[in-house]
Formats: sequence, structure tokens, C-alpha cells
Amino acid sequence: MSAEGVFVPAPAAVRRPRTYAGVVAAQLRRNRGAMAGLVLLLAEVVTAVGAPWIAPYDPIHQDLLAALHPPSRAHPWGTDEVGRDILSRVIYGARISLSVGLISVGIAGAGGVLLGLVSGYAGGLAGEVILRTMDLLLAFPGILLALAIVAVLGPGLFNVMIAVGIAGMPAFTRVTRAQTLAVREMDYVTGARAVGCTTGRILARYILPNVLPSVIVLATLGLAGAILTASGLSFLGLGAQPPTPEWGAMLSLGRAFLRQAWWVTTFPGLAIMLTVLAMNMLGDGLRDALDPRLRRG
Amino acid sequence: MEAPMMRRLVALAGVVVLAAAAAPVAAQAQRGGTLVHALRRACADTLNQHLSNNTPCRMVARHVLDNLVAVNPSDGTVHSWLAESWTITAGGRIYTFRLKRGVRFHDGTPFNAEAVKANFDWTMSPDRPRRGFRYLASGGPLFLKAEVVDEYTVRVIFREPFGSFLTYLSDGGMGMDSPAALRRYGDDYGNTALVGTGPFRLVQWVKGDRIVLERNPDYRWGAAVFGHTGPAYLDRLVYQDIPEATSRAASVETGETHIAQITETDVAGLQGKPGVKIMLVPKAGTTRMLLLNTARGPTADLRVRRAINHAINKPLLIKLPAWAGIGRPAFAPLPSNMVPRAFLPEYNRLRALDYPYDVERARQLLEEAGWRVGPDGIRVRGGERLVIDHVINDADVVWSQPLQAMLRQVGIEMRFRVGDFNFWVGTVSKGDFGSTIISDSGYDPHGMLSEFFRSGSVYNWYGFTSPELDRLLDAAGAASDPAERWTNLIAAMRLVVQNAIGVMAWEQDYVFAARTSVEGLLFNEVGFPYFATTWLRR
Repeated sequence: MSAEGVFVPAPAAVRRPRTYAGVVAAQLRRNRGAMAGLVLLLAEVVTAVGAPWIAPYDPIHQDLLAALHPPSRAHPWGTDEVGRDILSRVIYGARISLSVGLISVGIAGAGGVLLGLVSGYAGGLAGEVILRTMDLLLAFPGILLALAIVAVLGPGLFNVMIAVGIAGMPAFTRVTRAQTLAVREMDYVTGARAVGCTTGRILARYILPNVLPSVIVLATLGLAGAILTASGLSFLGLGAQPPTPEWGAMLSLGRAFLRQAWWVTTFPGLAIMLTVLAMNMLGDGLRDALDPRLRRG
Repeated sequence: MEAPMMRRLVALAGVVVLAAAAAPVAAQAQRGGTLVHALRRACADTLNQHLSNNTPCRMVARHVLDNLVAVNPSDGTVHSWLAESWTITAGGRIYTFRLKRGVRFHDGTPFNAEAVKANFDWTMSPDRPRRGFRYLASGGPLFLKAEVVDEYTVRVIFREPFGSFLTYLSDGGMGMDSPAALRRYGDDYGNTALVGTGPFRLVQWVKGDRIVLERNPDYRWGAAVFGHTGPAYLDRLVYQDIPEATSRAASVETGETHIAQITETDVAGLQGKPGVKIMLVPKAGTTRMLLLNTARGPTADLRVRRAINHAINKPLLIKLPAWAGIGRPAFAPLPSNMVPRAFLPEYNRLRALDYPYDVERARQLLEEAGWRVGPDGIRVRGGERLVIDHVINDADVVWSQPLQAMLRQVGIEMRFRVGDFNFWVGTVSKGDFGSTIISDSGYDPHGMLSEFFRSGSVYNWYGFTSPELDRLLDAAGAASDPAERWTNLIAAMRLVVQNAIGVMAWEQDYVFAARTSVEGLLFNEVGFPYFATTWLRR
């Protein structure tokens, strides 16, 4: 998800031939925190994609006779309670965490934006019903809502993605609706309506592009939250099914050995922390870059 | 000392085995002090034992309420307590108890035959909830009535012989309450008040935090089998809730509490710490079992079930970090500590029927059953992969992981379905599983074997039915003679092992950490500490 993908119809009078995306990218490049976040995330994506080549061991292979070995040359990050290589598990865990984050934010974003557009543009009873339902969901803390949904759907990684997705939807709906309400009254939308554009076309061509910048910021920040919530659910034993190398689940099992084997929990814990940190820094940077009021120079 | 009220304690390198409790304590015991016992949760429902179904509540109530009889957990024998003696007549239908004289409840009312009858009447009254532990322990539908013969003689009559009655009567859940207090406090009884004849009185229960008991100075009717019949040495006894296991262990290390139940994995961190001793108490209950679904899936085939048994290396399991060397490889559904000494030789013969770790034999059995090694190492038969659907609650993941690796070795894929406790019960109780990890705690051997292995019983979720097994279990239940009982129970266990209904994986120990200043500790039949004889060295 990069800023270059954003497309906004250029306003009529632009002095320099500089695209909106270009402005945002330049702005982002100046933000050191955001760039550090981006680099970390890219590194993680490379790790996730290249896991089979990078990881020294099979992440689910148990060597029962080498259980809880401290970091050594053979196992740089040590082994866990059944002798699995922690470095390999953390590397493979990047795949799980990134896909959980992307898919659940995808669900939240797609559902939330659609509902937000409908409720903002159509208004009326439908809009009101959607809005109140979302308010109801917002009343619950995200993790509690996700817990309740998993309790209904049953445990498992896929259900966790759905649960985290649904729990994340209200934020997207509200943001999209607010933007839609503002944009709907713009002259160019009235113009489009006057020349006979269909509602679908107006939404897709004139409203959605204006909503996207806020959605992208929300998605980047939501990614971090989604990964945390999913790890939390796995920590509680409701998410990834063993022996899947999921970071939250690794923390949960390793916690019993905290006093004797610090490495079992430290490395997956650091992985979660760095991922969330990177996403937050990038998200903050994007928000600043996309917000005209904060734009410098 | 004769017959100490002590479970057999197991030695572990570097772990203090509590020998002191077996020595006469009275000679050197020091009076006074407050002992703090850290638990995950001291009591989850109510201290009213007529209603409670929670073992920790019973363990607290046991200090406030006395029982008619006491069981010696090291040999299963039943001894007098509030009942001086008893007779069993009418083929095991009528139990007549002679009560101790001069016993008083904490509210000053006398303990007598009327009080015993009132306790049974309260539990068995048709307008009370009848599904609790005490209702069943009192015979459930077998119970007919309790009647007063004279002031210190009471009779309990059953419709049919009830062989387990005396054992149940010794349970913390069968303590004798003051009938006057039961009437006076109504629904508050068990929450704000609990009045018995026991060595401690209830002072205060702050729910979710602590329960405070204080010494009953008038106490002089303790069971002789405990080795001390007079008032408790401790002034106060506090049950402190500390939900997190590692924090509990730390609380003993810092001296904030005196004793706590801890997990196997916390032993390494506490061992050798000054002022701390670790104690292992064999758990009263069943063996930890990997139960296999005998009705559906690949495990419906006895050869597959036997192969799974041969594939599990039990001695290695115990050595892994999750076990930390605590526990013993098992071979029968009841652990050896549940079997009275007299019947141990017969019980030990079951070991020969168990399945030793033998990967070759396991592979051979799977071949015989038509399962051939597939391209990824997992066996296949007619296009079906040899997958065992392992349904567990999240606390059992740590025990299940090594099983997964051991089964993989012989070409079986153990696929996990993990959830919280409710998910697990909901799924497994529908029979929707291939294997699961299960055990129960308790000390009525017949009751526990029946709940797992009798046709159609509560935990028989895997569809095993055997008229022969049912007959043996029923015969054991009706027998009041221990020899007849155990002959039938051991024969029943033999059938369980021969049919490989599961892997009888390991015998579990409860692990306690205590300050070395805690002396005279006893562990009761459930494996929980009983503090009536405990004192603090200063």
C-alpha cells in the first residue's frame, strides 16, 4: 500500500505540473520516522516472502532432546519448550502476522468504506440504521468485540481475521461517512449529478478518491491494531492453531518458561513490537503527508 | 507415627520432601501466627457445601466444618472423626453411626443425631437444587432417609447398596453445618457465614480477594488419624487469591505468602531459593489420559489405537520442560497413588498389558491396518490421510505438542483444534473429536472410572461400550467389601487398557512451594493442604 497509488482528480488550476501523489511522496520522504517504519516493514515483507529460504530450520520441526536450549551458534535465538528453532518460527511468523493484518484490515476497510459511502451519500433511514449499528459496535472495545465474535464463530486463524475485520469496520464507516457528507455538497458532484452521472459512477469516480487518503491512514494504523488484536486472541488460545508459528501464540506458550528461558518470549515479543512500531510510524507519517493543513513547503 | 494423614510424597532431586509431617508434631509445635495460602481462586461459588461444586471452596470449608469420617489417603482406609464408630447392615443399605459426645458448633449449639439428620434433610429436600456434588455424594436417587435413633445415634438408609458412601462422607463437601445457622442465615449462608464444629471459624470472605479464618480455641475432637486432635496451632489462616501462576510462585519466594500451589515450570526458578521448599503431592484423581475416539475416524480401529500407544514415549515426556521431571509414566486409568497398598500387587500386573514405547511395533500395526506411508511421510489408506483430530482446551497445548512430534514419527498427523474451555467441552461432548487430553480429580475410584468408561456416562464421549466393563463397574459400585471392590475395579481397568481406549499417559503431581518455616503440613485425600496440624517455626 503505497502513497503513489492514490489518485485524485487534479483541481483545474495547478501552477506546477506536480501530481498530488508526488507531493505526498516528497512529504513522506522528509519524515525520518515514517521512512524508518517503511524500511522496517519492507524488510519484514521480504522476510515473510522469503521465509523458506531465510529460515535455518523447519518452523514446526520438534527436536525434543534439544528443548529450551539457549541461543547458540546452531540456534541463534535458542529453542522453545519442544526444541523448535525460535528464529525460524519468528521468520515464518512474519507471514502469519502480515497476512492476518492485511486480510483483517482488508475486510474492515472494504466493508467499512462501502457502508460509509452508502450511509453518507444516501442518508435517510438506511444511513441512520448503518450509523447506529456502527455506534453500537464502537461502544465495545475492539478486543472484546473480536472475542465475542470468535466465541460465536469458533477458534481459528481465519475466524480471527473475520472477527478483527468486523471489529475494525465501524472506524472506517465513520471516517468514510464524514468525508462523503462533506464531498457530496461540492460543486463538481452537483455538476456530475446534473450531467446525468449514475450514483455508482459518482461514488466511484468523484467521492471515493476524496475519501481514500483518510482511509489509507486509518488502514495503516489499523494494521498495527489488527496484528496486536490477533496476537492477543492467539495468546488466549483462540487464534492460530498449534503448531502454527504465530507470535502471540509463541508468547503465550513461552510465558510459562519466563523464569528459566527468556529467549522463548523475548524474540516473538520484539517482533510484535517492531512491527506495530513500524506501522504506527508509517501511519503517522502518511497522515501528516496527506493532511494539507500539516503540509510544509 | 502410625498412619500419618499424608499422601505419599515423591522425591525429586533437590526438592524437599516433607518428612516432618510424618513425625510427631505436638512435642515441638509452636502456637500462634498467621499463615497465608496463595491460590488461583480460593472459592469460585459458595462456601455452603450443600450447594457448592467447586473443589477449592470445599478445601476452605473443610477447616470450618468437620466430617463424620476421615479417609487416610495413603491407603484409602476410613477412620472415625465426628462419628466414633459405625455399622453397615442390610447388605450395604443401612449405615448406623455412633457420634462423639460433647462436640459443639461455633454458635454454641450441640452437635448430635438431630444435627446430622438436619444436614441430610437439607441436601436431599425435594425443593433444593439437586444436581450438586453433595446430592450425588449422599447417594442421589439411592438415598431414602436419615433418621435419629437416639441423641448420639443416627441411621442413613439407602434404597440400594451404596458402596462408596463412607469415602464420600469424608469429603470436604460433606461437612456438618450447624442446623441453627443454616436456618438463621438462609441464602447468605456460605457467603457471610459458615458455622461448623471445625478447628477454624470463618471471620471474613472478601470475594475475589481473600478468605480469613481464625482458630477455634475449644476444638478437641479432631480425627485421630491426623495425629493431632486439639485446637489448631495457627491463630489465623488466610486464603489469598493470586490468579497468575508465576506471581503465586513469586509470592512464596518473597515471603508475602507461606504456601502456594505452583506449576511444574515454576519449580526450576524456585528450587534452591533460601527459605523455600518444594513439595510434590500425587494428585488424587485419574491419570492424565490421551483419550481416543473409539466410535469414529481412524481410531475406531483397535490397531491404530494400539499403534498410537506404542508411539508415545512416556518416560521422555516427563523429562521435557513442560513436565520438568514431575510426574510418572502411567499405565492404567487410575494412578498408583489411588490404589490401597493391599491391592497394589494385583494393580501392578496391569503394567505388563500396557504398551511400551516401540516405534517399529507402532509402524507394523499401522501397516497391518492398511495405512501406508505417503509422499509427505503421513500414512494414507484409500486416499484418506491418517489424521487425528485433536481437540483440546488451550491449557493443554503445552502437553500436546510433543505428542504431535511422536505420532509424526510413525506417520500419523495430529491436527490440533484448540479453543477455550467452553469450546473444548462443547466440541468434545458431542463426540466431535479424534483425541483429547483429559483427567478428573477426586478420590472415589469407582465413580471416576465409571464417569469415563461406563456406557453412556457423563464423560464417555468417545462411544466406547462394553457390557462386560459395565458389569464390572456396577459390581464394584455395589460392593462395600474393599477386596471385592478392587478386584472388579482392576478387572475393569484391564479392559480399558486392552482396548486401548486411550494412552494412559502420566500420573500427575500437585506442586506446592512453601516457606521452610511452615511445619506440620498435611495433604488431604484431594491433595490439598489441611492446616489443622500446621504451625509456623519462628
